[in-house]
Amino acid sequence: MDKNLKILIVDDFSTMRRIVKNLLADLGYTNTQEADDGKTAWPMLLAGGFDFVVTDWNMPGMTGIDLLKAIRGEPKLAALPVLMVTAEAQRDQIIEAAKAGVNGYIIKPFTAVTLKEKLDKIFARLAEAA
Amino acid sequence: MNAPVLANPARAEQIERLREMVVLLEVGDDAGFEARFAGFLHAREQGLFVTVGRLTRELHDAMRSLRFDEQISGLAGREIPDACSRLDYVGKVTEEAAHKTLDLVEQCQHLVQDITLATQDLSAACQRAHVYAGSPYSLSGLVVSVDETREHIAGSAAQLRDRLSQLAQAQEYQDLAGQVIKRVTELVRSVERALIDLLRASGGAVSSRPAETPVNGLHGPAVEGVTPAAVSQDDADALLAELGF
Repeated sequence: MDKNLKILIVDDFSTMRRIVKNLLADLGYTNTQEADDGKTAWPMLLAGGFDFVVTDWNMPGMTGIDLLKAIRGEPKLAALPVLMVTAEAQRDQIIEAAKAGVNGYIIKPFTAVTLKEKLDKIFARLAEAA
Repeated sequence: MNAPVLANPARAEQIERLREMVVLLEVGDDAGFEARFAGFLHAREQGLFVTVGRLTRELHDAMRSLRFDEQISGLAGREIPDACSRLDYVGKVTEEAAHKTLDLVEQCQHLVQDITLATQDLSAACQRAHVYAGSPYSLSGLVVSVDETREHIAGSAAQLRDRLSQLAQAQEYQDLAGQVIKRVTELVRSVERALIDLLRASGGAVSSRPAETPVNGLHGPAVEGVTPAAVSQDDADALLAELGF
């Protein structure tokens, strides 16, 4: 998998963005950018160039689920892989995310191993589909 | 007309006003009628305001006599805004501590990397000594390299020790944050008590512990004993697998 993938990390907590950024860097993905809300992430995505999105759910301006739906609804972004990393641990939330077309779902707190597993799984499926 | 009815002056006045309005209508004085009618309604509203004013004053007096108003104004005016500031403080302090911790961890990682490179230098030095085995400078060259590397590693190790100590120290925020959280919990309990007292005094019943209320349908991080039906990562994986992911 191309380690130069451009990844957007979206979370309203700066510490979480930093932790995810560090974990991705440990796995070799150093081409990352950050957004502190779905609202600030959206124009960045529209501007183009991103290959992957890691997003939280609960954010004040625009939630992760709404960002996901917006991504899937925009033709030039619809195929963008989205991994949700969130504290929301209810069945209903997971089902809603699945229905909205999420590629992976990680529940906080999580380990580096889990992140790697989910990333690898998403990439494997994308390769299959290609 | 009944004598008892007419004996009530308020009612007599009402009847007189209405009679005047009927007369105005009969002679076709619409403007006059409207004016009188507006005045009539206004008088009724005034009556309503007076009643509401009286009830409000009575409620206020009752609360004061039960000392609720002091309690509640104290809670609303001072303690609750206090509690919110305190929680903001906790949020700020934990965020700062987390960033500081991560900074120190990054520094430690660099130092570890330093040490690793130094050991690679040692390997290279040994290689050279081997290659130039015959030369008179080979052994002294090796000794110099080993010496320099040893110093380098010792220096990195000392810095590492210092960073790790700072790292441990950076966890001190938990004590302060924990104390503040305790205070806010106490405040929430006293608000709970005040509300229950108020509810009981007004004749209401307090329902048994209600289910956790989600905000916008979201429950937030799963807290044992509080969050209903939280699933684990394994459950989430199984659920997604079921749905074909």
